[in-house]
Amino acid sequence: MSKYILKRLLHMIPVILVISILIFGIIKLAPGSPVGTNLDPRATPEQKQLERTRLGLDEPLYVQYGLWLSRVVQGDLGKSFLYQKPVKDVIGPYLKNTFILNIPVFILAFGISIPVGIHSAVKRYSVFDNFWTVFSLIGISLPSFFFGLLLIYFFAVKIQILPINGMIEAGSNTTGFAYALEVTKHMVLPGLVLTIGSLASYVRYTRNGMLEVIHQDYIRTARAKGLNEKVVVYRHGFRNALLPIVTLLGYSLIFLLSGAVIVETVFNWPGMGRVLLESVTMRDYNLMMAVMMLYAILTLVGNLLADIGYALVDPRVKVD
Amino acid sequence: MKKKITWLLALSLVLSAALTGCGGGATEPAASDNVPQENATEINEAVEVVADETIANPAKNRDNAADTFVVGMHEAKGEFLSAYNSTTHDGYINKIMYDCLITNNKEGAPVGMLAESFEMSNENRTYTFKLREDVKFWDGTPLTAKDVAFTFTALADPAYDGRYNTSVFEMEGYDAYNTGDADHVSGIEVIDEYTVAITYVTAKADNIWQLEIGIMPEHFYGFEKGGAQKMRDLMNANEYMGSGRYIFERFEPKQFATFTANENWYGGEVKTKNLITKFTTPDTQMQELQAGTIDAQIQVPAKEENGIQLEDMGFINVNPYLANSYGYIGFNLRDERLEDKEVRQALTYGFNRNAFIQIYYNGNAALINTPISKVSWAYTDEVNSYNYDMDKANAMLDEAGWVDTNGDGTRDKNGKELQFVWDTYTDSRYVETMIPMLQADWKKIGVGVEANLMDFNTLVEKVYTEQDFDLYNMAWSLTTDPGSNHSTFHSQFDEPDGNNSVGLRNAKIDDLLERGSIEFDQETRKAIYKEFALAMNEELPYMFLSQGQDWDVVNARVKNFNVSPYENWTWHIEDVEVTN
Amino acid sequence: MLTVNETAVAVDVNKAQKESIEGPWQMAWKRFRKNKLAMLGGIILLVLVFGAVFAPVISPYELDDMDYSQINKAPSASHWLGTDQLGRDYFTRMLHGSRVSLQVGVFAVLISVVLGSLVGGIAGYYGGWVDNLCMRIVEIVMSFPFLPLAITVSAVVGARLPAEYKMYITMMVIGFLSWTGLARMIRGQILSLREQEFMQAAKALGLSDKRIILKHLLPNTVAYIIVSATLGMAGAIMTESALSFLGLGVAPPTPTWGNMVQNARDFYILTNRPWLWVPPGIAIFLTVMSINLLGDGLRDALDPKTK
Repeated sequence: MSKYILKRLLHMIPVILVISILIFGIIKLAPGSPVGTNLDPRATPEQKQLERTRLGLDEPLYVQYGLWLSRVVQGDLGKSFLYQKPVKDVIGPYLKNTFILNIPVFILAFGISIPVGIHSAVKRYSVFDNFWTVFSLIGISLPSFFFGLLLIYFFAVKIQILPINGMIEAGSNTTGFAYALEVTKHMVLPGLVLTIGSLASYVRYTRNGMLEVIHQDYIRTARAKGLNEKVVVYRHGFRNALLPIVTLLGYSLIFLLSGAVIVETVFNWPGMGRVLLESVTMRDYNLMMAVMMLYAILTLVGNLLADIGYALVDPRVKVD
Repeated sequence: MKKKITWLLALSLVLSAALTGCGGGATEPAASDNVPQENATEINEAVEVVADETIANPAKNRDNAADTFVVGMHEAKGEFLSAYNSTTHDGYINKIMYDCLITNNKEGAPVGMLAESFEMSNENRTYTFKLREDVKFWDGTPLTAKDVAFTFTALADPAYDGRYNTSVFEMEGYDAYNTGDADHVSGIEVIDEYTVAITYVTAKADNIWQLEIGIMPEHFYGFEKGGAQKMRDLMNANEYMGSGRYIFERFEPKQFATFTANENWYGGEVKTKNLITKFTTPDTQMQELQAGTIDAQIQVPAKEENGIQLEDMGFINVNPYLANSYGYIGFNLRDERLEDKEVRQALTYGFNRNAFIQIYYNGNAALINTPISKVSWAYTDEVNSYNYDMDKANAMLDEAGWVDTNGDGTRDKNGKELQFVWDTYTDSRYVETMIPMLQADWKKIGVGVEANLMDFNTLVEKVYTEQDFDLYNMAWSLTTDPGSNHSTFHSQFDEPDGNNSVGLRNAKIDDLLERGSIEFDQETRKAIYKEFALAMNEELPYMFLSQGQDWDVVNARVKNFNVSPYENWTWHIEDVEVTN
Repeated sequence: MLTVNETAVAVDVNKAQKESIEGPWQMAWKRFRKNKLAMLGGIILLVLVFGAVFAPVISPYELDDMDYSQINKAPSASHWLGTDQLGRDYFTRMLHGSRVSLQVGVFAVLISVVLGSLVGGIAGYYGGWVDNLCMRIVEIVMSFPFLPLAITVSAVVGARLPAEYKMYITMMVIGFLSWTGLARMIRGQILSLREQEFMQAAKALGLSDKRIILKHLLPNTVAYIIVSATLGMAGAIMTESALSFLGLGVAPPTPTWGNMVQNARDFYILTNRPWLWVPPGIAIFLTVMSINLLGDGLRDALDPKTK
């Protein structure tokens, strides 16, 4: 197994390189540079040119890429032009905020969807199943931004029990428990949007996976053998339905850290999604590259974890 | 199965009915209010929002209400040091933390701040400042001439990478220091502990404004030549030392910054003990005002919807004043279709700018026809107002030889069509409202226009660096001195990255701009800029659009919040009081 | 001469020959028709498509007609969904908005189906290093962070093209980034189909690779393709509306449901003019929902296992 993991990790390296080259190329294709809007309107053309040279924007593309790459392998993600601070320092707090918002969502979404999916499949066409089918259908069809706006309208504007947006109140000096409470209050609405969206698709996925399994012959055999229904479902059925679930878990990992741009924008939550949007609009190359590569690596790692999980759960799957 | 269907349908019907029905409590303006006034040039006084002191005011119930003033403003980046603040917003905060040699009074004339007095000599090239002797930094260290010298020398440092080298690069001795071996800038001279003299190479009337930089203490920020990075490092670590009215406490990126009053401020008492600048967006401003989580919001867009909401709140005062900025559409004068000023004038006559102002600003903006602010001493009323006149536009275009020869709806001449591409930016209701209106109006005079939207950064590069466009729109903020028009309209600046993006090369205008810069006699200057205003009004390198209003909006519990076109909210922040 | 019995038998045989044998497609259609929800989805979708196609005819107003005396009006008899800040009839804009949303959905899905089928088919059929290469490509495309790419492409191309073409760019971006799931699924299908007997027969007959892939293998995966395409369309429409909401997709003055909901980012409009943002939101919801119902129904009908 460890040999497999090692091999996969090694395979990931060329893929990451190719992705970084592609992303770099595409970003640089975009016209506009950070120099344009960030200098004083009184700045002379010479100053702007000086700024460009200082930022290394004049060099041929492959040179710029080479410079970036050599810095990155040494652990230096460069300086953010917008924030005038090392990229690492800029990303840190936003990563934390995204994490804070997404962990409960992740736990809730999986914690609820797996048992619900299983039960739905087992008790097909029951009221329980019908409810969840409709629920998940609505959940995946409702655009997240629209849902978010509706929630704000009802809970923050009409009945003012929850804050409208942001992560904490301004000027707030709360620490410890009070701080946690404040953040939690602000987390409710965006968290709700994210959870329901994820829940809806996870439930469908789990249910379908379980359905496929339940109609297999070996389940019928198990029942015919006279095994306890619970044993049939959970020991035989579930173990096999785990496969798609594990795959899903792996893919969903990326959301823990990537932040949902839409929800963060609607609710003004200071997370990674917002940073990404801003860095692209303002052409902060170092920041953009760092964030995009982070996403790409997370996706690949997620895939790898999914495959490993797959192998662990299903003895038929040979890892070579 | 059937149940499921009806339930779904019912749900969606209920949702739509409920939400469309809830119209909210605000009243819509009567239909007649929205018909544009053809020739309105004055600010619509319809916005007079005065607070009702007697009604419930949520801001008073805030935890920190007794001694804290919360101001809502656009997000600042956190670069509050004089050497580095690169946005207007960081600039505001810099102003409350630091003091400058001079500032301006209500009329826009320079008056001493840290300088008790100042004189000009040496054919107006040298400014000698006599400093007050009672100014101390927050840590008790006295502010003396060496701090002034340090501040400007720092901006000239070879390792300095901020934008304010524009303040010093025309000083005597700059080159020798910045790129040469000199150990100080010869134009910056410390005469004694409280006297400092600064000399420029060329005497210009607006040189004085280059010196409006918050003075930084040498004992805190001082460095050897080449060590300017130290200032940035301290700033990034959020360590500040100033002499200003409010002492820096804390900065939360994207959220807020907090300050406490400087009890030892030389200028007198700072009335409100705590100040918080909360970063808001146009989306959140109204809610915050409504909920009382902020006591004031600066630069609220002067839109009808905002006016209604503010009025409805009841406990809000609105201070409207003409903003020191204007919007325009730039014509690329290098394009042979636009090089004829008759055509540009016709295009201006052909767009109902007043209707746009009425619709977008609900009349809360002034039509302008020349790049001088209506509140400036240099303004003149004698300009042509180019009021909407479709017939005149048609006649002028006919006369200029542009006729629709091929029947496609747009005029042409020598094989060229009057079909333009208008480069503009995304994410703006202003632009979205203007596009259809301009298209419709120009269609009636046989001119076609397509809007090409891109993000702002891209637009800046296309217009200023590549100079590749037909038309574009943007806005300029104006400084207190009309001399800033020099870098925008002088032919010298028609180069890639220069501000003269449209390519204006007019000898008469060049001459007026040059003379205006170096003239020190106020009356003569006034005459020069009047001529300039008239010339610009005739040449029309831009279609000037409007000078908007700024609204600084204040909760009723705030007293002495005084603003005017040349004095923003930071000018007299020490007088602001909050009541409970 | 035939006896009466013999004649009867002759007639019977004829009748038997006339009875058609129910093919798998007919069976699927019958199953589909029994699924009331799926039929509902189909009907709603048809109505929407009808509305989109006949938009200019249905509404008495032109898309760009500005009536300055009717600015920001609430819904009324003359303006079913009220007007916007320039006095344009909102219902008309909604109808035209559906055109963009539906078009983007259809074309994006077409692109992704073609790409996915080809790559998946080739990978599954040839196996070996071809398969490896294809899967690496799939992995690379899958790892591409979608939104940043959409933003960047929007910026890059947006500067050089007039507004209407923005729509096509959006279609292509969505299409080019969402084919990977289908590719993997088709590859899996083909891997299992490869071992079946009809494949050996085809090979024995000496058919060309291209013919085998296109004419024999892929048609067997059509069921998956159809389902994937339907569900993919729902996703494409959601994505386009999200992009337009963020200001990265189709920009005003061209109306799309996404950029119409964008109005709600202004607090005043959110609170006081719900007719501007709620109807487009519901429209997106109904469209996506009906497509999902349709897709689910198709899947249930075409895949005998889930019975």
